[in-house]
Amino acid sequence: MIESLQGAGEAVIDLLIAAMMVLVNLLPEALAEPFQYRFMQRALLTSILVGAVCGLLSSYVILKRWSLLGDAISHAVLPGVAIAYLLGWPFFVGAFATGALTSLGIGVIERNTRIKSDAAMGLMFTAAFALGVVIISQVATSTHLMHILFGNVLGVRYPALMLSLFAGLLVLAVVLLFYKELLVYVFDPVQARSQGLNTSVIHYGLILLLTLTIVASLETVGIILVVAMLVTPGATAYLLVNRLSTMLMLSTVIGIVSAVLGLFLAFQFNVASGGAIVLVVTGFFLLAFLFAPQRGVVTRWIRRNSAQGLPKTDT
Amino acid sequence: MTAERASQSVPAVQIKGLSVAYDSELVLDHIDLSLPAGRLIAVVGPNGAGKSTLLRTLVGSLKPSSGSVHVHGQAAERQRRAGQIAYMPQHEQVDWDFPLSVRDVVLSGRYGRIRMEGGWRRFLLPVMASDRHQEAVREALKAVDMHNHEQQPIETLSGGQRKRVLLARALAQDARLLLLDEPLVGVDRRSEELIMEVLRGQRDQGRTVVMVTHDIAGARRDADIAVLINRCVVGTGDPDKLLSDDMISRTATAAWLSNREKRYQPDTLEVA
Repeated sequence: MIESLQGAGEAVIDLLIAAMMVLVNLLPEALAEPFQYRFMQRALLTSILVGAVCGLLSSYVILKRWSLLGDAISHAVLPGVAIAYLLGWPFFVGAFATGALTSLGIGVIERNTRIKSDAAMGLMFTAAFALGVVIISQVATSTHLMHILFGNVLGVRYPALMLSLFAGLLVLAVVLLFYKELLVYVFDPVQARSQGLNTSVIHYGLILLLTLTIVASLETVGIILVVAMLVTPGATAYLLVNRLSTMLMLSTVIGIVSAVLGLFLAFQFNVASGGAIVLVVTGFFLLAFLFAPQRGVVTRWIRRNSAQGLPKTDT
Repeated sequence: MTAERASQSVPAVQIKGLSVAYDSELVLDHIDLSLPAGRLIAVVGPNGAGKSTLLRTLVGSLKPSSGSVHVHGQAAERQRRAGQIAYMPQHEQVDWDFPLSVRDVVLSGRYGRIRMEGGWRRFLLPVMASDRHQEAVREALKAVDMHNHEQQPIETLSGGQRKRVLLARALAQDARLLLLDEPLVGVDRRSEELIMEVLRGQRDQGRTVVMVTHDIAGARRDADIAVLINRCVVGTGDPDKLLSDDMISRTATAAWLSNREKRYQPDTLEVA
């Protein structure tokens, strides 16, 4: 049963790769060339999927002010990976479990003490991370730890690809089908309650999606850098548009483009892929910060100066 | 006709033995309150008297530590799911940098109705909402004189406009009970008159309007019924009598002063 499912999953992924390669081969040869390698094709598909799902969720992370929570969950994933490694389980099972447990733990501390959420997060995620470091130092090599921390997209294999595909489809389906509920909940949770929505379900559902996305992104950008993919695309889009729907689409596109461009640069210059991807997305943010049509620093400066200049030329 | 009369006789809000606490401190202490349907009701009280807490309990965002709340004779949660409770928050409560247009916000008042259509239609994106909902949004925007700002991003609105957009969202919901948290704070004269006119219009259509306010003069002028609360219900009745200077100075002021020391920072409690 599981094996046939796995086979089907691999077939779907091979199909996606084939479709993707049709497009890649339309590119100029210099650009398409690295993607003739099988491992680069898998890396490209993973990057697209991870870029898309992180980018999409990052809009909600920005609007809900959950950047720190994203950081917390991503660190909390480490002990899960270590324990799974120890027990011979697939790494994402353990990662998902400790990530979700930590976010629940944060809520428990918040509700039952006078400690506020930022301290609760700081406390829980460093504790979980420390546990992970201790376990890993016992059982695995330091290169293994480096791959978990910083990702190794060039070494991605089928199980991780399938997980990314699953996360991508699930997040997309939830955002499309429950767009209205998420909008009301993020914009005005009290209004959501007054319409009889179960806000706890939405709240924890969103946290679980976030956890799943982080776990699915582990191999691409790694634990430390995934938070950049969960914050920066949304932050960039937030500076550029005025509608939630366009913000979601734009942050998804920014996520995909950064991941693909970063992967390409990493291959060309033989540098770490996770770092390259994050630097590219940060570059996009900088551009928006400076030149966004309404909110860019430079744009506003130019507008201010030309507005001041006008009356002078009149008189 | 008889059905209408029957529904009029069922109180819009029936509260029994309601207590609400933040941490261990009681903000509402064993309240009994019955609010008749089809009236404009002002809930008045000093800062931290539990006015907003009462509203938030009705809305369902705060869990009472004991007691029951019925709306139109049903458990409040059932009426919420049925879209019969509309709510207008104080405008500081909402993030106005949110990337939404005026129309988006008002349409979100219809989401409950869209969900109730059931089947696959409940999953439709808001842009695909049927004409009925679009029409309700247009009407609500017209009622608050914001129909020329439909596409405007909410971050560019003035204080009075923000209030009116939140009111339009509540109107679009087409609920029998409207709950408003300080609808007149921080608005200009024109918006204030417009908002009160809309609320009176809603009352005249048979809806129940419950507004929390600390503006005693306004409550005396506009409300049919006043409820004076200060952690418990101090009095209910004709606004002119209940909120007469004499009454205020005898009952309310005495209660406010005696409570002052115990509950000095109630505002910070309500922010949560």
